[in-house]
Amino acid sequence: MTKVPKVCPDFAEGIGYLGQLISNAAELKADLALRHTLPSTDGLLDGISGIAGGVGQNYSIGTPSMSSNVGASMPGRHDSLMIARGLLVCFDSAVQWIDGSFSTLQFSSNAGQYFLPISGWSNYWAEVTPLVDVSDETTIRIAVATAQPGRIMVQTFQLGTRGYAGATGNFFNPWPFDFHIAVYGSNAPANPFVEPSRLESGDTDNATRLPAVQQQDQDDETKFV
Amino acid sequence: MPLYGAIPAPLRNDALTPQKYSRVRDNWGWLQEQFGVEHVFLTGEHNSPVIARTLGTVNVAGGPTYTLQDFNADASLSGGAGAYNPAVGRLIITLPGSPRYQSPTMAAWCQNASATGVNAPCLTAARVVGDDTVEFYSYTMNAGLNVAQTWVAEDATFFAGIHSLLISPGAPSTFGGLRTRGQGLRSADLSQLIQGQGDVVQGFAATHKISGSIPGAHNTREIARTVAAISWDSTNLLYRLSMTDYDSPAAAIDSIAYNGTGQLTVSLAGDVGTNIQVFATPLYVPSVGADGFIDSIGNVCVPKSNISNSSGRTTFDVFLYVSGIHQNLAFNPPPTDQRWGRGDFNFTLRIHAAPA
Repeated sequence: MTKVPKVCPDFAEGIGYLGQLISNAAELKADLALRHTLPSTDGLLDGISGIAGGVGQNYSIGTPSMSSNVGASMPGRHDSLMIARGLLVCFDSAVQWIDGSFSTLQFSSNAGQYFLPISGWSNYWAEVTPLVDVSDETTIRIAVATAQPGRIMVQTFQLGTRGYAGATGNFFNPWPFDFHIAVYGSNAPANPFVEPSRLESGDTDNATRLPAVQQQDQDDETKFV
Repeated sequence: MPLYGAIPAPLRNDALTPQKYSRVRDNWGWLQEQFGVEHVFLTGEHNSPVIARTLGTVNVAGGPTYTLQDFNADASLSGGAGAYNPAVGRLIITLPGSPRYQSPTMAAWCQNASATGVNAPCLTAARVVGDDTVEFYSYTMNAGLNVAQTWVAEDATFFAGIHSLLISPGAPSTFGGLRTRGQGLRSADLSQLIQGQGDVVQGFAATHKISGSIPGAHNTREIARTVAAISWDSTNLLYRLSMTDYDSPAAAIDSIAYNGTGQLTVSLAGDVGTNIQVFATPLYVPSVGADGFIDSIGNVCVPKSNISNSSGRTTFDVFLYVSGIHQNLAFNPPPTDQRWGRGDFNFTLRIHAAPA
């Protein structure tokens, strides 16, 4: 990206920066699209098509690139395997808050078992944090999230004595309690946990770089007011 | 806001500037609008419930003496040791409260990083107390492996990230007035456009790479440099990197050494320092015994003490534990206890590091 002074000292100089502003916009758009969703842009390719040559202009931007993230349904939101696709807070055996594209959390009839429907993602997993009970801070809890076809199963366990005659000692027993869960996922059509599919840096989509414009606008027909 | 569009082709009597200027102006406004959805405009701070607002390491040394490391200014320990560490294993982080942190929709993630994790499973749990307070509780199993379990609270080092709702992204920059064909350009408009684009680039560059091998990659501690799903190949007795992506080539996972059951060393491709935060999640499927009770759970430990730099590469150890594996778990006669041992299973890693 070409550095352009934030304060334009001279109008003619500012006109000269216009080409760099065009180039920077295209470059920033490509950068932004790497890890963020962008809305449809009327099918235009980075907004720089069809301007090489012509009367009164001398811009040469290079080959336009199309981001694979353009046209996504959640414009401006992040789109990366490194960032959770959604987050859910479950308090008091009820979903208190959801961010992301989850539908809802389903409560199983089995104690401490929950299902989070997942659609549209090929690979996903979840991180879950057990929350300590305000009324009993000494309880020891484990929460586990398991990816299953079309859903994530959450199971919550609390340390205690196994509940039938003859059992002694401590066991982690299924037990409902509050938790936070974040779901990570990729839309890539790969089979998780089977084929290694490490991405190399050059594999990242829309990584095509756009050269900065070097020439200044020298259009004689521009009117200055 | 107009769509991001093509710079119009020049016309004979409207050669270049008014239409082209206006499209450039609109495009920068469009870029700013997209950026502002999940970022604070000028600082570039990420502004999304799914991204930590503050993230770092809670260290504990003898005493115990707790210190915070790598968190931004939001997190602090307040009131003296007796206040922020009122009991063994209990640690209270103080936050600035609303609007940056708003319970109950705050969320916390934590990873026990105690050195005890080398030899025994460890846990850290959380409790969002209010807008300005999150508590963490750490435990370890002190009975040793493959014997009846006994869990105790432990003052432990752990990694933590705290999330909250969106805050205001601040006032957007302006990009000058719209000019149409036949109108001349005005100096003030052009200056505003140049200033505005500088603001957008400044915000983006504060938390993203705009050059290097992955332009657009995130470059802030609050977002992972690398994530990976790692699978256990029980046939060949090794771990495979089954799915991964990274925002920093140095943070890419280069190798996973298998040191024995449930004991791994992960080597990154380069040096991202030793002040990293690693969050590990077992993908182990809990098994349910014939009596309907759980027989087996996975636990993953990443001791901070085992994070090091070796030959220009950041490395760390991962220890995996499984409960109740084939020990005293027959339904009849009833089991007398549940035991933990080392185990091998699928898990995920999320690695956070300092901006590069």
